[in-house]
Amino acid sequence: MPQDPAILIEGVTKRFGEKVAVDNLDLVVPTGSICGFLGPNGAGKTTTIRMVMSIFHPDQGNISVLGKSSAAESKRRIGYLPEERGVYRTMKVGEFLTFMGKLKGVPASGLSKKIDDWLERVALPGVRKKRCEELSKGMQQKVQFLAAIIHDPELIILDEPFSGLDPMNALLLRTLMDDLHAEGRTIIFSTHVLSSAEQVCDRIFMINKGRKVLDGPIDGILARFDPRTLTVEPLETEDLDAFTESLTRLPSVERVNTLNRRSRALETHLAEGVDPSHAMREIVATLPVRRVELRKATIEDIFVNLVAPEDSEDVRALVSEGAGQLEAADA
Amino acid sequence: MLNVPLIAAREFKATAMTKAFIFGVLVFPAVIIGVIYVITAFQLFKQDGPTLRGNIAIADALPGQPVASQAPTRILERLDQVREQVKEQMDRMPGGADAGPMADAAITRALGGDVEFEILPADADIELQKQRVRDGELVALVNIGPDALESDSVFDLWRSPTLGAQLVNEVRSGVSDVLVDERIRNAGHDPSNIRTLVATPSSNTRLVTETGETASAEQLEMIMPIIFMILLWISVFTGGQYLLMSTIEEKSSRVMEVLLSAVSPLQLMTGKIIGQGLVGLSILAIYLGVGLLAAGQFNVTQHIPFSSLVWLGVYFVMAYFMIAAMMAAVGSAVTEMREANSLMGPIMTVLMLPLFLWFLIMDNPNSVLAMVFSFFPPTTPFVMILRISQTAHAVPLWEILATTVVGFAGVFVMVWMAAKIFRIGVLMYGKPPSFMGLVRWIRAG
Repeated sequence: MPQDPAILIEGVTKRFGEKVAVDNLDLVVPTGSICGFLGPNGAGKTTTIRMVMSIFHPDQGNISVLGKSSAAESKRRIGYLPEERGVYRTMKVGEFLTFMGKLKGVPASGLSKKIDDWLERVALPGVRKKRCEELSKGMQQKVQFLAAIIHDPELIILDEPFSGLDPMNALLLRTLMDDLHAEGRTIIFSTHVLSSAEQVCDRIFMINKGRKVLDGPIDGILARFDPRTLTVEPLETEDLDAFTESLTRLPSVERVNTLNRRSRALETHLAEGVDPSHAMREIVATLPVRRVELRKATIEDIFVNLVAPEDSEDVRALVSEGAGQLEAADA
Repeated sequence: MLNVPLIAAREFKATAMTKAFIFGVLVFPAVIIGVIYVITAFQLFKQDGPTLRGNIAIADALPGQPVASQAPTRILERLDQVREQVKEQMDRMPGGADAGPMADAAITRALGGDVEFEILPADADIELQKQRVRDGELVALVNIGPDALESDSVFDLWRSPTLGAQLVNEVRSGVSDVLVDERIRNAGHDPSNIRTLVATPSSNTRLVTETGETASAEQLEMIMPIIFMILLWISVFTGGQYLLMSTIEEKSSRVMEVLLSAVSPLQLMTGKIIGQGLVGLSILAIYLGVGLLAAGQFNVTQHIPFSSLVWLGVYFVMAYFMIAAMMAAVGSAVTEMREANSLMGPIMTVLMLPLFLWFLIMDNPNSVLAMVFSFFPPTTPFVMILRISQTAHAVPLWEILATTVVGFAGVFVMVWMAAKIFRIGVLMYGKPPSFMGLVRWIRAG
């Protein structure tokens, strides 16, 4: 029997006043998967996550989480790291994690050892007795992450987990997410750090202006989004302009962009319907080249392809301002 | 749900187990009491001038010079009496027994060490003597004119700046006493006899009520209701203020949504209100305990209406939940304390009413005004504790019960409205809503 999905979103719409934050969204997060949730600022990611967490209620549609009709019924099985997150400044780290653990139903008996183990694991040994305000922002982020997962949740929802982390801590977090996923937990996280998404997730879904524009296993998506782009590097680099001109004149080439002045590599977009292997042969036969390479699509390419620059407006303030009106309006 | 007690416990611990709280709630009143003691102590041997040393000259133009002959003894006797009184009071103060030498020194400083009297001849040149005062040779000069025994007569007392107020008073009184005695004697009576006759009798005032007869203490009865009301107001407001601050802190530190991942907004609000309620209750218990202890110390426990203590508990619950609901609502709607102020304005105006009205209410506890505010839920507990703990006018039982019902109904409505605001407010960042904005949230929530 196939397992129930961890999250099932069916036809969900959420409006804040006039603004439609989430528009007729359908989404399935299979149990045991690790999903990246992408989209420009203001696309509706946080609103969707808040609806999954039963913090907001959809105007239309249904959401089921871990087989229940509302996350409120299974809060203790879910670990949630919100985008707007913080700690009690004057509380000691240990006290804060104990408090959060108890709120999430962790038995008091093993809690203290669990906290010590986790602090060790995220490279924060010895901070237990420190006040949260004494920690650096990155350290606080790690404490917040621990607060979200201290109760061993089946489903982990992380809203922008990488924001504010330096590369070392981002790497640590990615490793932890990998480990948690390997333990069989379902993880869904929203992010702007597309490289992280690509490295960690097995599925991605992207929304833009409240609508889903992409959903599926990452390999399938990358294959589907063949960018039909070659990276071409000339052998001689003295007269790059002449080389570029010759390249552009080839029938299989649509346009050429300079990728990197220093390496002299040229980003070569192929014309519609051209077979990349044919184009590569043609280039090698016609021009003196050091390197011709078929570029693999990245999430970033896909993101840029699907999202117009004007979609990425920072409308968070607007949304949160409208949130009250919406909440008001929907009741 | 177990989460509500967990939140309440955290709230209580984070507020009451801090140095600031302990300092504010315990140390501050202790300091106040200490300051009162110190002020009292200083008043006892207040120094209006430096140590007195010098002569007091008396020019007496009366036949037989009765003032010149009797006043010095009288004045010295009075000074001795004052010394005794001061010592007694010093002994009653904490550590007073050890303060003996210090007290003596202070008394000497205040009342003067070596005071000598100089009797001037009847024809002494007063202007010349005044110059001696000016030169510091004399600390005081008393001039008794020949008509000093007339009923509307005055006598002259010139003093140097070195003569303290306490001494001036004793000198003046000593001289006056001698003059009065002389008048009595001239009228053919025995002064000591007359003084005994005109001694003011003291009264044994008893308060008669339905339940019996008790010793009367009007002042205490006047002040008791106000003490109860202030006690209620302070404890309720401290708890409410802490609730406002902790809600704003949770919002501004962005810990709010972290909490909402584990609990519902209603659970969070309930837990917070209960936690800070315990803080308010602790304050009430501490201050009330200190008050009762002090009352026991001064032997006035019998003047405390104990039924009022029970009502104090009931009205604490009523007043606290009313104010806490308002504070939770305002706290959830804003992100900074500064933003809360504009929303607090209308609320504070209503809640300050009892403080402005207590005098009018105490003047006539069963007036229409008192009744109106008894049935206005935000002021019900404060006005009713005033009315119930005064003894002059019994409040009808139906009114006590009816106001209790109305008061708790008001609390229910307020908590219901606050829950609606709280649910929306906790995740709202950016521009805070106006007061009317809050009303819209309630309507829409």
